[in-house]
Amino acid sequence: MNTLWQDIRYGVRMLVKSRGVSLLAILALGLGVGANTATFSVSNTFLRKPVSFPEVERLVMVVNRAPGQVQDWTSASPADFLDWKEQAHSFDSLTAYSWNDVNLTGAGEPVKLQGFRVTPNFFDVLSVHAMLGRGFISGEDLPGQDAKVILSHSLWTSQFASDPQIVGKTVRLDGRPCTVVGVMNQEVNFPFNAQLWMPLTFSAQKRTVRNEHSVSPLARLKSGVSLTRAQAEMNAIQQRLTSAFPASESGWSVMVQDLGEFVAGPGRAYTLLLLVAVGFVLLIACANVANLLLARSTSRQTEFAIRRAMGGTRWHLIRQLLIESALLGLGGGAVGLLLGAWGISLIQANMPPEVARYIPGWNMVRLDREVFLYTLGVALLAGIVAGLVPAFQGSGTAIGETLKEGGRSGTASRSRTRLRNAFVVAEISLSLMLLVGGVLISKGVLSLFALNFKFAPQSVLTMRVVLPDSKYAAPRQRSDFYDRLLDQLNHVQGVESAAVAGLIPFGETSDAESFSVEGQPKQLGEFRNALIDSVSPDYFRLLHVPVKEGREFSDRDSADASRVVIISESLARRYWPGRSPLGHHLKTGEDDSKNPWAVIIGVVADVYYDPWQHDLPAAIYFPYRQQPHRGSYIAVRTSGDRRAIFPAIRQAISRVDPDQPIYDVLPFDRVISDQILGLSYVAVLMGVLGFMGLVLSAVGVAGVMAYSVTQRTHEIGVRMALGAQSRDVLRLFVTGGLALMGIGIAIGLPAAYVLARLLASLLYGVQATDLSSFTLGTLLLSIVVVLACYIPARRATRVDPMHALRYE
Amino acid sequence: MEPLIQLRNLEKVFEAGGSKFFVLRRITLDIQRGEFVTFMGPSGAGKSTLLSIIGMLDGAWTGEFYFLEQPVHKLNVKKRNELHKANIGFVFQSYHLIDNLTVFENLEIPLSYKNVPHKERASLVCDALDRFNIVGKKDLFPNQLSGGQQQLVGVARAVIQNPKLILADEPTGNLHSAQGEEIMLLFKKLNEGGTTIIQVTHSEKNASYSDRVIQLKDGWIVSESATAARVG
Repeated sequence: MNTLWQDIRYGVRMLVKSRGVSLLAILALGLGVGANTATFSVSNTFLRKPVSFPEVERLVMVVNRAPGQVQDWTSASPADFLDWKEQAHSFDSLTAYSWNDVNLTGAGEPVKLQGFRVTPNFFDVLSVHAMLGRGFISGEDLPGQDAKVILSHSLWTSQFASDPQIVGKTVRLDGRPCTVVGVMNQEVNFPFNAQLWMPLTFSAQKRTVRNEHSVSPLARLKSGVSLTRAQAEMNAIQQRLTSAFPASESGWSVMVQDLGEFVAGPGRAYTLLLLVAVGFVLLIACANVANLLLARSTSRQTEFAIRRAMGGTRWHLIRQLLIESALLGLGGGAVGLLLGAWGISLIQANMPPEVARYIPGWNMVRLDREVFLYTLGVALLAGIVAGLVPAFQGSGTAIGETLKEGGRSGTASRSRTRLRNAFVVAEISLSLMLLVGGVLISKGVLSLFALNFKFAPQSVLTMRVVLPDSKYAAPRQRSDFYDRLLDQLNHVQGVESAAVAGLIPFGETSDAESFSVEGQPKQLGEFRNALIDSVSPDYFRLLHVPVKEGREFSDRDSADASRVVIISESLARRYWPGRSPLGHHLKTGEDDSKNPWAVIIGVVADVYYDPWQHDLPAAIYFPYRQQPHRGSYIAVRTSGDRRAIFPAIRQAISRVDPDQPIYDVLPFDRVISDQILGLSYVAVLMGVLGFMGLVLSAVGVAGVMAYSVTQRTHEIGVRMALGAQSRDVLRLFVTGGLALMGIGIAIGLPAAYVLARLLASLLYGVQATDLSSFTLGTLLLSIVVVLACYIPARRATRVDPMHALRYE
Repeated sequence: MEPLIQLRNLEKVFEAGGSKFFVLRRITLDIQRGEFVTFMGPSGAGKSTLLSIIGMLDGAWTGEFYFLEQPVHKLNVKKRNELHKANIGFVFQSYHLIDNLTVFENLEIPLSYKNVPHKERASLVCDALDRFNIVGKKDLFPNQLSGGQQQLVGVARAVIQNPKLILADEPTGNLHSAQGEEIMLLFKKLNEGGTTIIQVTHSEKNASYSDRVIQLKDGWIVSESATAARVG
């Protein structure tokens, strides 16, 4: 212990003595560690703790995968859910939820709330209890018995002033009186950002529905049952269901997924990508520090030889050197903590609350104990990794030779030079991967922005309404509301046009639904679905979506008129390749559904709705009068300041229905940027990491070159004495640097291609074979590396031959 | 009593570019306990290499080498290290003190590698400082000492663990004559106290302090002679 303390003391003294090298190493490690700290704090919450329930590792989602789906998932049908519940033995219990946005009225301003319908055992499956009152009980899921509600803690506080007597009181949801039976504690806001829960009811008819996938089942695995075993059991159940109901079940499969992974969703892959990228930056920093330590260990060969001669073993020396590098790591850790804390606050400050609320665990992101321990661990590990090779190299000093008077102490051995070069090559390769990755992902995000600027979103204001069943149960009531609303809005001064749509690009997404094409019955196992939207006549014009064929909707397309539909270009190409789809018929639901057929009257350009989805979805548009949604977006194109016009819009809506809340009032460009924000974060972070990698590599290359110049001063002197010109010396060093760069690029490019393939599978608009990204990344790296070679090489040309020869 | 060191047909070869270069050839030599021996010879004769091999800093050689009757040629690296740590102290021409350690810490180094407990270490270092009259220098760094003082610390470091053998490579090479004489007298005193000493030197005067002079040339032992001191 004493010896260890002595080594630490000596290590500190060594670091202080060569404070230039130490500071550089601490800074390099600090950059790498800081990037890791910030990324880890976000990803730890996002990947490991997106939800927090007792024995959360036993909670799994049980969802469907439609034929052809590889990465995505689909909700389950009520009949399937009930069958699974009855037949599966892997679970303690199985529950289900479905989205149910409601309007709360009669308690001040009407507000739209994020609600969920859940089966009575929902909270038992999660193993949570109500803070006030109780959870749901059996029987409350029967139609007519379901006018019960459980409030989230945040809703109870914000809307009901934390009323301790709230249980038993009645609130009006969608105009319907519901009894509050409980209030959940602060930690429970699942699924997503649930504000309230109501019982999920299954009518006798609904219990047999297999074509409508509307519920999301969640289960608690029995103690000791693995996910694999549960998956195997569900596969067997699904096989039985497929045999029994081939028409609706063929090609469908069941996926049992860990709840945490499920909640993290598609962002998980990006988070892992960032973790790998920051790992690369740390490796580059380690390679840099290793090179610095190698250089320093060369100048300490005599000391090492003395220590060996005094009885020190190789292990003693390795321990001493590793302690020194671990101390550097700790220094880097301290810097990293500061940089990490700054990075976390920067990331948090730039995340709008309306986006943050949809990111699982976002409010838990902080520099907590786990992040601190992680930083400490990473910093120590980085220090030790960086010191490992120099320690083994340094401890292998030839003692007798070094201690001999005029021995070769202080000169770099060939193997040491090779090692230093190998580190530089590794840095260049890793940097190139980061750069190409950064360029690719930035291009992807930019292409998403470009795609959406086609909508000219800068003058569009959007908002949302959810019409309550109590007032707007009948489709005619809903379409009347929208008719009157559009009429009012079109009379507001400054409004150029107004439209209603169930979905808007990059707004809240909805599950795709199945549809049938007349004369083209669905093949067994074929997955045929599309986004179904209901839009007003001005919708396409307002968003500048070009009509490719046929006509737009008009006022003629009323509820009583024959049913019409407009389809997206990709859907038209798929079912009517090379010919016009106009006049053909399709309908929502399966072939045998009772939904009426609608004639195709137009084809519009494809619209990208969800940035997280890689494939362009097919879309089917109905006129809103023939299929009016409960929840809709209202889009208004204005000629002036969008915010200034809002009060007039609010009044127009109040004139139609004073009780009707509107929410998410946002400029359309903000809706788009909020949706792309997560990706933009990834792009910006990749860019920052690429830049950090580049700077660290440049420092690494410059360091190796500068060291090489110092080592070869005598050689330069001899060469110059023999007639070498400045340019010959310059060439000598720059060529060496370029050779390293060449090898680094040769290794880095194929590795970057592997990364590019991964990115291409994640993000729209990214091509693994995008030559321009590879060229740009390589060019950027080459320029920086050439500069990093040139500056020390210039110094070599200024060597005075006489001085250099005396120097040796 | 068996000699402290027995070398039998010891050879060291460098191979470069396919050809062999002999540094030491068929060295057969006994050194008795308590002897003071000098290796002399021109540069490149193999003196320092032989010293390194005897000091077990160099393991790449052939032949037989017995130290305290133990066959060094058969011992693995760990055993050789133990033998070296327990019995051998070094003194170098360039002193080879560690620049960043104080005099006290430099003296402590061999003891710490022998895992001597902290208290005992401190007491041994204090004894050495006292014995060599350098107590006032204990907190100074090597670059704050004169050459003679540095070599004094070097010798103190070599003897602090009471070695049976001291190996000194040109111990006075970097000192002026008065300082050199002081160091040689110190060696003589240590030798009289029973420590075996082997030195490499070019100086006839330094050699005269020893009992026996062994001349090397081109890796061969070319002559052995008792010195006047011995004869006298």
